[in-house]
Amino acid sequence: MAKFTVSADVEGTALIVNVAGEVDMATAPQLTAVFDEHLGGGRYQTCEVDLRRVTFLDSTGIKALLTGQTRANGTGCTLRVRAASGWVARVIQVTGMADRLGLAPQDGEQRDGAAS
Amino acid sequence: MAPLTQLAPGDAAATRKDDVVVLVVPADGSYLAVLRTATAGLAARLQFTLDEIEDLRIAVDEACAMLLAVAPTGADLTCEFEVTPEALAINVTAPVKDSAALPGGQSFSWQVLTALAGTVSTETTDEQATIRLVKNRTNPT
Repeated sequence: MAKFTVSADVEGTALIVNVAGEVDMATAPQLTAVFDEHLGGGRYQTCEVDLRRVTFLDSTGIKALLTGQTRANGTGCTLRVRAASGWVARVIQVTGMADRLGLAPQDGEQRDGAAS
Repeated sequence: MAPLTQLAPGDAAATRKDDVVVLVVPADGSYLAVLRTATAGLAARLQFTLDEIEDLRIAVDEACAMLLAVAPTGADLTCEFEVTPEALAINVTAPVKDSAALPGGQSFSWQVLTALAGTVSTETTDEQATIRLVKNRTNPT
């Protein structure tokens, strides 16, 4: 299984959060910690959470994303996910958070390869 | 030299009735990955489709995470897989802290669980809670 990692890059006024591996009860706090660290100061207009290398996401991960979004919104920053694939997109969809998290309609159409 | 081990015929275990596999792990989130992997391995062996395997993997994770949230420190989480010709039934059980309760039906956890698992039910007593998932085998061998 892929090791969980999360890192943040700055592109102009955008914060790009790159997440990889499995987001669950054990690892989600690390994602929340990155949001807390970067989104409190109002430096960014947008925050994009890149999920292309996420191989697993459960409701704990959804909650972490929403917590980050609430924090971002508090400083006028918009948070959305990008490149969610396979079952990651499906979990976002079944919780009804696809619109709120800006899940692109084409995300998740390819479910092959996400079962690792 | 004769082989020290011999592989069992591939379908010998699969055709036995009512196999039970029990995994007991510390009630700690760091073991969720282990339970997901075990679930996927068992489901693959029972010839569930890739979609079904992933659904089960997520469902077991959600059920276990719900129980971990109410289990006291130092407790065990028990994951019991019952394999019958018709279905895979999974019972996840953990002790419950005083006055703790499982999340309500509108929680994200339940939304994911009920969307992905076949049939879900719960049983709670004063001391412990069990979440039971049943996924029918559409292609039993």
